Amino acid sequence: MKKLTPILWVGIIAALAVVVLGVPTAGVWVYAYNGEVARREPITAARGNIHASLNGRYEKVGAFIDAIEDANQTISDFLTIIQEARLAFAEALLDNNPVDADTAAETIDSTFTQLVAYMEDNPDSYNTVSLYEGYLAEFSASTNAVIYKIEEFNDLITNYNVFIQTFPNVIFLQGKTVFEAYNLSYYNAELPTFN
Amino acid sequence: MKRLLSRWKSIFFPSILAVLLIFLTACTSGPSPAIKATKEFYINDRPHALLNATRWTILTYSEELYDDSQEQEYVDQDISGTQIVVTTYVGQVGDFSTTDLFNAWKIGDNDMGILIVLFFSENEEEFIYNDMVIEIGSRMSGFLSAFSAEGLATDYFDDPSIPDFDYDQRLINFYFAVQEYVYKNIYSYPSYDFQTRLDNYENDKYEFFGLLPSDNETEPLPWWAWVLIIVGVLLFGTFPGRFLFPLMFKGMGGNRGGGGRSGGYWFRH
Repeated sequence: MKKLTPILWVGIIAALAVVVLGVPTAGVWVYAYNGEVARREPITAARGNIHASLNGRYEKVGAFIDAIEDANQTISDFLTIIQEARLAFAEALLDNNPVDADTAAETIDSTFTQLVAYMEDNPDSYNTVSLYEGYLAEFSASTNAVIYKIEEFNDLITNYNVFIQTFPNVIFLQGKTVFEAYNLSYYNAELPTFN
Repeated sequence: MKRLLSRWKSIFFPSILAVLLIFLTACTSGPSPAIKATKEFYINDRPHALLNATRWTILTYSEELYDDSQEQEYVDQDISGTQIVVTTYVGQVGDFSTTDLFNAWKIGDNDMGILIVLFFSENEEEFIYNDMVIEIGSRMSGFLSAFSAEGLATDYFDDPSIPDFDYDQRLINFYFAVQEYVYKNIYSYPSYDFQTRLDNYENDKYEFFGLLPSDNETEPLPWWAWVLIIVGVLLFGTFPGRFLFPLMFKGMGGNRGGGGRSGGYWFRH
């Protein structure tokens, strides 16, 4: 058996160090990188689903709005705001601008909420009771659908944020920013009163 | 040597089997739905709040609608496989998520499902109807909006000519109205014989047509029974298939969901 020289010893120790430290480090880095990508992509899809459900909501409620024949001035004002915001929402979606889309959605939904509250307080302003009940059912169902999509989105956000902020992923994912949860304020808001 | 090999085999194979069984028992398929689907699928009246004729009527006509919606032209348009499911529950709206139930049962092919849930309270003598929730599948919501469904519920479920306590009649009235809407507005049928169906139901309303498949359902074997069976297999080396296969395959067959999903589009009537 040949005696190992000091240089050879250093080489062996360095190689062992690379194997012992380098391989797990590389493994964790790959896991963190792939995990971040795998969690980020569904978020984009989920945000698109929210906008799709909002769009469905506006189309359905819009069809109802068209059915209101004898709207008074207060309702007409609400409808004008909704129509303008719907245009802004559609344009923002076309421009692939989620921030503007969300702003327009907030305007529409806050106005929807006021419209529902006004209708509840002034049922005589409507041609039939069933129209009013139909509107409330549509408002409720489309709100539930939007909330469901928002909850799915927020679950993905939470999962992503926890993943990039926990050790050891946080070491390898410096510079990745946390996502903000979607605002539910206009969907769970209590209705204002008009009387 | 031969004796040793034989002994080794007698220990090795049962051990492998035991390990496999342990792994299998560790496999889970996600949380169970709040209400277990029945074999008949289209009607789920575990509390027995509905009349026998009501249950058979819903089962029969839902199966018929599903078959009628399987025409090739509907398949080509991805609108085939409408399933209308009615379920009853003793409790409050919000006790469970109807969206989770819809998605667990996978109602409708192509997301063309409708779930109607009736909520009851119960005293010693009778069931008291409280609420109805209508959940509409993702694609179905493009044809049947909550606005339209609420209109049908107001006109047919709340029909003032039907006494409030007769929720069976109110349900069937509404159920046929939903069917009529689906046949005419989705599948472009020129007509739907609403009145004849309703008359047939009313004539047989208090008849007994026999038990539904779910009325004969037995509870699945408890976990300790499976443990005893596994121990028995390991000790005696035989599988009592003659007794167990009927039990194992009893859960198979019947109707099932078409894979449909709901995006949370539901409302309370």
